[in-house]
Amino acid sequence: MASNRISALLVVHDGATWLPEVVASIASQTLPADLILAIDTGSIDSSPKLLKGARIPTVTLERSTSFGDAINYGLSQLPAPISGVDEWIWILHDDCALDPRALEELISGIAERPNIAMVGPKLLGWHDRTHLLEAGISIATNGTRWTGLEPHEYDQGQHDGIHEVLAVSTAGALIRREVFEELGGFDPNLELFRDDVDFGWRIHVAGHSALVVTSAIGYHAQAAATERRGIDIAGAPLHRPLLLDRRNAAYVLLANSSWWKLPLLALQLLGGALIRSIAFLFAKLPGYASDEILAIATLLVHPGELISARKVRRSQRLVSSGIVGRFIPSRWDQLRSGFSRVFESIRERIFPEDIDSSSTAISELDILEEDEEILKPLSHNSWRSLFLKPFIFAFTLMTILIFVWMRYRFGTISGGALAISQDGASELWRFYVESWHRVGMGSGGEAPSWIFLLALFSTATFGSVSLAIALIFFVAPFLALWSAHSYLKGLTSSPVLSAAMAFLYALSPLSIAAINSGRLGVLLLVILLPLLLRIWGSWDQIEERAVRSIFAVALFLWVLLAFNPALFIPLIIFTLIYIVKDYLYFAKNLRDPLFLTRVLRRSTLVLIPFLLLAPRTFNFFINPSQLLIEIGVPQNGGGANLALLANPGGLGSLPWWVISPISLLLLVTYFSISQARKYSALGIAFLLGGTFLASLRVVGNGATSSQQVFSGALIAVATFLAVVASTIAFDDVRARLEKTRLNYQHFAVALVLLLSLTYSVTSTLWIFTASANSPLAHKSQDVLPAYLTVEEEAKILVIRPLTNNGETSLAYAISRGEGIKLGEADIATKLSEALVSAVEGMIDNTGVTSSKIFAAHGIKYVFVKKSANKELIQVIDGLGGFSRASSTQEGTVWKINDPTGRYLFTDFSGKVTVLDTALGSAIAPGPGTITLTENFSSSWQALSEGVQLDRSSNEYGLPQFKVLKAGEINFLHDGTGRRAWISIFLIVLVTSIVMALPSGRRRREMLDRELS
Amino acid sequence: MIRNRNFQLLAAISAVILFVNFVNFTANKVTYTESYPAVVCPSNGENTQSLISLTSSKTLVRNSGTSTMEFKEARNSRLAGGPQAIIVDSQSSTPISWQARSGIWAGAITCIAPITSQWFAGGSADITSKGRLTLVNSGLGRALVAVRIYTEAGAQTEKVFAVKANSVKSLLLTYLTPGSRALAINVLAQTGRVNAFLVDERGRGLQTLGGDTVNSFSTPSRSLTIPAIPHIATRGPTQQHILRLMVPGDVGAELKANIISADESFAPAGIDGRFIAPGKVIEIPINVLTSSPYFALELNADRPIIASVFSKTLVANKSDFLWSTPVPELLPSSFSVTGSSPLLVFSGQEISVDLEIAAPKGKIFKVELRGSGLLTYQVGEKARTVKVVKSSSGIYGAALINTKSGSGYAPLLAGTTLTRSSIPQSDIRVLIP
Repeated sequence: MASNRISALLVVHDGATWLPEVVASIASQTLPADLILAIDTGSIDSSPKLLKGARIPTVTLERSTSFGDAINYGLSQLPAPISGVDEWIWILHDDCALDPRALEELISGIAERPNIAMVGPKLLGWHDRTHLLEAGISIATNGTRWTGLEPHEYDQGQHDGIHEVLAVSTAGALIRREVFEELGGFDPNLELFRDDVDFGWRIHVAGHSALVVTSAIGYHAQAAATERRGIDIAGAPLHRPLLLDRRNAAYVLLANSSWWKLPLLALQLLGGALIRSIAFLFAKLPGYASDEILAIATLLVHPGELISARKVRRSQRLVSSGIVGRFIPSRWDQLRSGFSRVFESIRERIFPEDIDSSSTAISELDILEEDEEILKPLSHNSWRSLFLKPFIFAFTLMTILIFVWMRYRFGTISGGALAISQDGASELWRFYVESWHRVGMGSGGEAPSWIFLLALFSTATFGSVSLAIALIFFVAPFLALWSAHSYLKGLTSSPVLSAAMAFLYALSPLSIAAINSGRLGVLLLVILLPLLLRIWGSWDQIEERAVRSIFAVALFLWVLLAFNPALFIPLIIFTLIYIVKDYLYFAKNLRDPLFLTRVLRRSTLVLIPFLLLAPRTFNFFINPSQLLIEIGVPQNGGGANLALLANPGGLGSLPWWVISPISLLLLVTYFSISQARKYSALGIAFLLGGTFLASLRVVGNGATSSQQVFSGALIAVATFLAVVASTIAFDDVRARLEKTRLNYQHFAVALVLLLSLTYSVTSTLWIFTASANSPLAHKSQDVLPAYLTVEEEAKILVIRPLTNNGETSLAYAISRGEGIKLGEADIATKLSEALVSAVEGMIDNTGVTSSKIFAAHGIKYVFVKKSANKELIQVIDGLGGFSRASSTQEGTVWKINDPTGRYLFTDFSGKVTVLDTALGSAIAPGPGTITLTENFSSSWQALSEGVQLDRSSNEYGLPQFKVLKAGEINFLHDGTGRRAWISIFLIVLVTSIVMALPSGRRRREMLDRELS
Repeated sequence: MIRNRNFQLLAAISAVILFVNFVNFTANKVTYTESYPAVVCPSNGENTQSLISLTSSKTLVRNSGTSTMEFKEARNSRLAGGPQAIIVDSQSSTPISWQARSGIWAGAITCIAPITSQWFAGGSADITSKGRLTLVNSGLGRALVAVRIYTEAGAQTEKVFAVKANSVKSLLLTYLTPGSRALAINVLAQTGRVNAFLVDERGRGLQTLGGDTVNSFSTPSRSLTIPAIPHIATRGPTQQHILRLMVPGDVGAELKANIISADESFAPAGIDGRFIAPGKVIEIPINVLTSSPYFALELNADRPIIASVFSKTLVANKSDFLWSTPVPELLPSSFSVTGSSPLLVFSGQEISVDLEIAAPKGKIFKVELRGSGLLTYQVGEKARTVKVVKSSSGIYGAALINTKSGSGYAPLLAGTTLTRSSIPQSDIRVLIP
């Protein structure tokens, strides 16, 4: 066996912080190096002095010398190799201390392994010496430095052994001198970072191998990577560590990979850089974000470097570069690692670890105690005792109740205020971005923001909207119970009281009505309201809150307001009240900085949701009654008197005789002397506000008649405030009542208890029986007979009786071959007067021209549901212009006799023909007029040979275009306006999210122990 | 302080309650329109004339078979029919149409608004038959009409006829089911505003055997009352009356019958307790020995049935026949009887009917009828309308008209009822499953 000669090369650059320990570790090696040479690259700290003091031979180079050049220079200063002796160079960093046995272990690791050209130690953190940094390294296809370790992985020997790896860090690496010189040392283009991986790759391709010997240990501070020292290397762009690291990563991949992998690699690198830069932007680290992009850019502007690097590698290649494939992590591993890091990051945010305690070594005493614990008998908590915990009991009770309650709601659900779900999230997204919606006679209305949120959630549920909806309605009572309980338990020492109150909240008349009638907005409010109050914080001294918190609350409010526009009313009222209050408080001094800060912050809470909900919010100025229209399909509320009992009424709500204790709780706690009063006073204000609104009527979207306002949003707030006030007021009430003589408080509590018990029994019975037949159910999503859904372009007038406030009357709407889908009701427009008159005429038997007007509007069929009266069937039969197409169990269908379709061509003789259409275009047979049977919009355009046709509005207010000659006409609805709004929305949203998110920290701002 | 707080709270709650209830009071309600659909009277048959009794000469009418849908004043309170059916906007008053083949036979028909299903228990398609089924489409759209015929042999194959918009289609009974002696017909309007009229005319060679119009009823029932069957008192048993019956369902029915005449009430032998097989038209003779010129027949079965009574009559020493059909319970209603001078016959346990007879020049005579069993009232010649102001429950009525040409039977049922329809509202909720 040949003997070894080891030449240690210590590269030093402003390393005075770590150098004493590093030098000591070199000196204390059980197997000392044969030679040692320090290469100082122009340190300006005390490093040269320390080296001199340690009597280590030192050569000094320029400050801008790269790491590779420093090593090469050091190598040139070593004695010539001796024949028959294995020459090794031991590369040492000034921030990496070695275990005393490190070199000995490395040497023993390469014994009997002549193919090994590079061997390195296991690297642990400098500060946290249980933190495993590396045990061999590789590179992921997106350029990430790959160690295969978890973030902050604790070293307990789990990776120990001698393993073949792609490369090892140059810190403490032992490299066969012959191979190093043969390959030309480190790539001069890699001034710092990734030179190790590149070298490892090259030695594999040259027919050698690399090893990690984990019994050899180094403690690495990673000073350059963690920005503990500057980068002064010439050629390092902008001297930014991340930029250099990313650039070099890309360089290594592109210089060493097989040529056929290059396109995919380039895409991955670019995509990865973009994603990471976006993430850095969200973390408010624009410098890092630019590093990511610049790294790729700087590489691409010098393609010559890459070409020549690949030439060099080709000349040194002995085997295919694919040989390193086994060391490159698979995509799955990369994905898993990415997720792991994200979750770890989230976990750390939620459950921050005490850094000091995390690094505490386990003493022998602790181990002893652990052993002793094994000998102790285990205490057994029976299942019974678990279920007797109030919240668990309430949760179990809720589970039983839910499964009975929801027995008709397993699957795709709709009904009441909940429209039919779109087929997939992509359809929902399309609906959100489209500028023209085929609803009724067409609508250019902006899709509401809640569709954006629902689409987001649906994307998370594997693109299934119906699953997302079903999930929300199924888990809503649980979530309401949990969110209320998590808020209430902080207000009382009694777990029974908090659980009972949370249960009452989750099963309040409002919750029951919201679920039964498919009111998605109110339901989400019920769930989120307790969470909002948790993060709401101080409203008086709003300046004490961080800006980040203000934006977080504003975003929360946006979500709530998107689903419950009515909440704008109290939000604006309270904001104005507080601004006036501040104005008076600051002695009417409008320039007081604190006053201005408060105004700014209060305004932010209103302005951000307002902008995010724009442009629909601008409609509120023009038509304030729009605030009172809930999202989804508008349904009647139950009126004011029911609302006063905290029951919103309407479809699926509890009957009047199931009286909840909510209103009584507000009254009783209002006279409480405790803190409860401020909540109950506010609750009463919301309840009376809700009662007032419930007495109003408003014309819903796509309707001609007014409906009673559903004031669920305000009642929801009142309900929660009642629960909060009661929890505070009844905390320890039993003890207090026991101490006092019989007085009105005893009677009040007794009354509340009695009413609560009665409500519990009656509401539960009602849920078990009548509630199951509520409008929201799993049922067929078809509104029309199947054969009417085939013609996509056909409009169908659907007539059926509807019940309004107990009175049944005929109602109608225009369908595009299917029922109304989520969000469509929010943008539905009123029908024109001509169309309304035609429908009324058809029904009251006076509409001789009804069929012609229908045809002019593109209505091809009239469908009367079976539930309509028979006289209507005869009336339509006898009116003329309608041909009975079918009469089935579903209803009766007539076809309009006059020709009609989406595009109607009228020649100069007045003859109307229907144009065949394909992908938004039609062929005009000659000069004339083409009527588009959609509502008029200034964004409708028709192009003939690229020339825009003259547009006007016909007698029915439909767009028509003057055609001068025969040919293909392309129709489009210009969506520039919609795109502009979406852009504004995204800008405001991203800015708000960035503002609300916690800031990321630069590495130099992190604690040493967090890094290494 | 507490008292002040109490007051504030009370005031706030009171104010809100008062206000919201006031607002509720003024809230919009669903608005309705009310109208009487127009009724349809039959066209003239072959060699027959018809006269339609109207309330006044200003009653609005229009003919089928024309392109115009416009109603015009009748200009005569007894309107002569033509080859086309006449659509009468008679409002609350139901016109009675008189059809006659001069000197040979006559019949009466209560004009009704189009309905989707009409049942006829009458008519024959044997060798003597000259009867017709007339289908009237008073709408502007094409009508599809299904005609289901039941005979003594059972149900026949359904035939579907298309009737052009605003037109009349006449079908010979012998064409519908040649050779069948006893018919029951169900006319189902699949589409369109359809009325059907049945004329049962019979002859043997050149000899006329009489004729009558057969009134329809809308649905089979387990309880039927035929309130006015004309009877000629004879000394011995004669086969004047034949009950025609049919059980439309798949299961037979057990029958219970009761005859009510002016002097007695009894269960007729051979009918009461008889089991009727389903799907086949059967005829049962009714042998009645009573001096009363009219009697009523009550039929009860455990399954829905249809029935009517064929009666031989003698007018001006000339034999004729008449079909008496079941009627629904008498309700407040009004009938135009100008020039027909009908005999009103009411049957029931306790009869209490208040009538108002309107004569020309706005004269109104109030008549109160009280009694039990069977009660008749002869309407004067000058009467224009008979209005049933009030009637007790369980009363059934029909009008019998006699002229030189023959006798006619018209059920007292409102041909048109007040239709209350809400003004339709545009509402997106329609598109929710």
